[in-house]
Amino acid sequence: MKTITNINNKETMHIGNYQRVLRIISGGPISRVGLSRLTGLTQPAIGNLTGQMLADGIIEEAGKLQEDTGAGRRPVLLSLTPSWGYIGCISIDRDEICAGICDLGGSIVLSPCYFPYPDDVEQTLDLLCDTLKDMIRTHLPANSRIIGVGVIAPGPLNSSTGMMINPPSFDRWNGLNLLDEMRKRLPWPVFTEHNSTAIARAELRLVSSEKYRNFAIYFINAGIGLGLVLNGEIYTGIDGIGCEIGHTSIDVNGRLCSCGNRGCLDLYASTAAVVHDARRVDGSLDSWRKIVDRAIDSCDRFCDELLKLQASYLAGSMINLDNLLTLDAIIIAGQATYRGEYLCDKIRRRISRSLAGSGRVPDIRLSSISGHTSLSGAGAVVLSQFFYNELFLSCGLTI
Amino acid sequence: MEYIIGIDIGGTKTAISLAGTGSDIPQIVDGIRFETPKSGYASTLQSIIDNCYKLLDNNGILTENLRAVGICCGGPLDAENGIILSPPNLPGWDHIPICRHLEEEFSVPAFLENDANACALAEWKFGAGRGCSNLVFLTFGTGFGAGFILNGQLYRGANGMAGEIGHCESFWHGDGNLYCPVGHGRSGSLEGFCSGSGIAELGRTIALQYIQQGRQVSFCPDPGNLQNITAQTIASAAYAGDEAARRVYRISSEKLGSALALLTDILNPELIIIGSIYTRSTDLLREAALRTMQEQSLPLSCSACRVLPSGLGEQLADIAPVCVAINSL
Ligand SMILES: [Zn+2]
Repeated sequence: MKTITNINNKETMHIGNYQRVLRIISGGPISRVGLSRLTGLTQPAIGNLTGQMLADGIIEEAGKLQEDTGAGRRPVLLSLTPSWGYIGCISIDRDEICAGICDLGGSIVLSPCYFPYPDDVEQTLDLLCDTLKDMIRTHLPANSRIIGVGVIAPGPLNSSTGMMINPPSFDRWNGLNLLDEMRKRLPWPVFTEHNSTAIARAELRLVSSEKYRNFAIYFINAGIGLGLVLNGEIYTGIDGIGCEIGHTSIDVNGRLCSCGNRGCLDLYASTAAVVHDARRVDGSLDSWRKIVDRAIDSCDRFCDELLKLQASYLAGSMINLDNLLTLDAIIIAGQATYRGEYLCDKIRRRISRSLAGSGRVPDIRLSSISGHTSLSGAGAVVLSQFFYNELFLSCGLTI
Repeated sequence: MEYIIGIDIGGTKTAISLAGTGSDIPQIVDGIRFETPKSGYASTLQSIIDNCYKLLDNNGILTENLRAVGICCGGPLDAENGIILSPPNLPGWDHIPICRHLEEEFSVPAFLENDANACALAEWKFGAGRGCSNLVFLTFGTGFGAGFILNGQLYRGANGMAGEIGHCESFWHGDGNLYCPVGHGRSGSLEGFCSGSGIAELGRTIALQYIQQGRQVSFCPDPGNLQNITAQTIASAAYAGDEAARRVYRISSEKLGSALALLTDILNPELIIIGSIYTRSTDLLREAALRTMQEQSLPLSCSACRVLPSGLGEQLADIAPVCVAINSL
């Protein structure tokens, strides 16, 4: 297999240009002239590269520019061929596991499968992998190219080794090498990542990089995960382990957490925590969605207060984070986005009250990821390997 | 040899250093310190310029051999455009384009960063953080601020104001919310515990308490001395075994530990470097800070993160503004 290190300089430059131009085209239809302008490469060089891409089938001509440029000829637009390759997406989380497939453009092309959650880890892994293989065999055209499989799970997870290390409230998975286990079961390249980081990757593909150079994802489910994009890049700290916010304490004398700490944010502001608090008072409130529905549709005071309290915990955590990192935006993803404007608005109000004096308030908003957030995240892990790293070299392109 | 001038503008003192850039670490050739004029920016700027010339003259260096000027001072400031906005410790300074002034004077590029960022750069390039991709520098001096090197570059944040760790936690009390019960021991922002003035204030509170209980406080024999208490006098007393002084430093180090836990959880850095008071009084602060950090953070990030005093020590203040220029050249 080719790697960046065992090929010569001229080849490296050519491959680098091919990948860079492809990356730009993957952002949306663009003409050859536009590519030349954006990359600084000559028009003949762009002609060569795009010719090669057309022959590889990874891009296609997508009609002509609407506006007449005045030169008499309307330039042809080039766009990515999403069906050129597919990505297996697997998400393992505390409250659900699921598998799906997305295309090279990052759209989920096969609706995700959810599973009842087997207790046994080996069984769970088998089930996920068999289902994925089955989906690929029965739903994709024969001989479809599978670029790779992205597998995401709660942190801490070492992205490079694939080792899951003491994920809080996820004991059965502790010490498991997710990467090795998946590679044993799947014939394609596998990549693992901490789920909130993966979702930040998916979000990064969608948001304007000028508007949001620095942002945080709060991935709010049974636990609360943090993904960071800083200076326009994914930030994970050491070994791609990623960032954690759910176990930062908001009350040193608060509830005792399974991580050994007291007053962890997870215990107050995750969807599971809110359901837990609600059920202690009203047994019928057994799901997050029920609580939100009742707060909005029936103007239920109790449910509304629960959400208000959750919003204030989240706002407090976000203000601390913003004091540290001064962010352009804090983006909410996960279960908490269900009719999420309601919660978002409460958070916004708390934050603008507290940060009013500082003259700068980060945008608080819901994730722009449409479709299944976790699976888009898993897909984004492989897409970034393809568009930015060496996976690109082993996918049968004529480079 | 080429030279860089580094200027550290503080509320009380301004320090100018002249550094040679020949070797792998900038060599401080000479320096001048003077009281920051209280009469506003114009006179300060003039004495900065005069002293720069004096430094160059004294060392027989022609302005042609000057390569750049680096400046650091307290925030808020606009590093990108080289403008000092309106730092609380520099009254009368309001939107001062300091870099432009110095560029026009010396015909070399000038660069500006806040103190914490300048120290982070210095430790990263030449101190305890050499070779790291992700590190945090904590000023633990006049204030409590953070400078970040993340993904191998300086991180300034939206509008360049990142690093206000001293303001963290302040949300969790005082707004009458459910989770802010009285007597929780969280009666202020981190800066109130992890800074010179914070430690002195804490010292006053505890000294008064001890005196009222009829107990001995060696750093404050009677209430008349309360106003003379400084972080330094408490530290000396603590080293000599004074109980009240040790208590002050223990409380401060536990708060510092909470800050370290927050940073390791959120940023998972390789290294946190703590300057000033921590560097001078490591023995008083280290143990309780690390213990608290361990208790309050996730084990994996905590075990991967080293916590060190400044590697440049007393040199840091001189090298930091020089590094502001080096990083941008
Ligand atoms: Zn916890």
